Amino acid sequence: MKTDDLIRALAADREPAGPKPGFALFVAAACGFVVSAVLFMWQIGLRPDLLSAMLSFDFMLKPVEMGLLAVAAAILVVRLARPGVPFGRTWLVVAAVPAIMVAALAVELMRVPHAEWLVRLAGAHWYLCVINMVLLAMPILAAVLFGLRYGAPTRPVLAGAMAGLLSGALSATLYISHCPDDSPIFVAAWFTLAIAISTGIGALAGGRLLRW
Amino acid sequence: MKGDAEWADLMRAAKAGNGAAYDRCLREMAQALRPLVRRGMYRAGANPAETEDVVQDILIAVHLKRHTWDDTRPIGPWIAGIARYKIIDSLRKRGSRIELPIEDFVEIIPAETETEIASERDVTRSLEALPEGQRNVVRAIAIDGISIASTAQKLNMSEGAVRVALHRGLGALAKRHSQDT
Repeated sequence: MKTDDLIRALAADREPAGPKPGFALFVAAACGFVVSAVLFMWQIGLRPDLLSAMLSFDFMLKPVEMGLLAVAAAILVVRLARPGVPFGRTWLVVAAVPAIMVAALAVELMRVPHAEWLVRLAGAHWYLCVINMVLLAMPILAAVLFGLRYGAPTRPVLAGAMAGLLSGALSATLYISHCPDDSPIFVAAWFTLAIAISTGIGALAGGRLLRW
Repeated sequence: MKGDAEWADLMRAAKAGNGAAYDRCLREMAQALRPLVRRGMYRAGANPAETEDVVQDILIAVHLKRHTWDDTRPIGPWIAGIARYKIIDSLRKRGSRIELPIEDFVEIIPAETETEIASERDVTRSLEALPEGQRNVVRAIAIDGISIASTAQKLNMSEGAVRVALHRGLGALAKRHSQDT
């Protein structure tokens, strides 16, 4: 078939091309988040002292950090869904979150005696925290990757990684309302690990699933 | 860049339902893409004779992904992004792992054009692999050049069914290409 013939067929095709990437991704992420939230309430549940915890600075730092991360990752995912769109300065917001974590960690290390450090690092059950956050991220990641297929990501690995970062941050946001450990030592270690794992899974999956 | 604003206008007209504008837009893009793709293939040590196949891949992608162009942004970087992705994709399928310098794709210059060198390989072969209904519709509209209405009459289908078969056929062509190894 000649290119001229192909163009004739393309021009004759008037079926709508698809939803705008931002809309498709929003719907996908919202569906994934609802699934994770239901799983969370059903299997894990809120911490009993949630309301009083919300008065503490260390607790409130967590949703602020995860919220910033989720918003920045969402913007990057939408940008990566469109060919030829530059990142802009959103990277700075992503980088700001580890900076806040490190600052909070430094303050905590100065405030708390050496003997307490490892206790706070281990928390109530750090491994459950990591496993649960990664597991809760998976429905969101699957949904966001599905939404990305409506876009045209020219960097599939990076787009997948940012989808993983977004799902990790959203899953962490949910998990905050259960996790009894508010110490910045705990957050800097295990939240970071869980989000890094879901980002890695996203990158691997993106490289395989986001071909178009 | 001269072409950018022009193509953006054509593409906006196309979105509003102007088929002639869309046809012209795709033809001009094809002409501008040819030298760009040939250069990319040459640099990567691939066979420049496959240029036309890659140009066709890019055009199908431009068509099927046209909703990912934000019409408040310039259209040049969007096309360049798709072109670069599809060139690398086709090189990867041939087993070479290649990095293309992004500077090559910063500008697509419409003045630098080239006409098609006949290529019968990829798209034609993929056309044969389509389900019969889609293949007949795509062939009638593309190669015989008849309208949707006449195709419907000729194949004894409703116009709506022809439209759907055409759309699905083009989508299947794109998929076949991206999975083909």
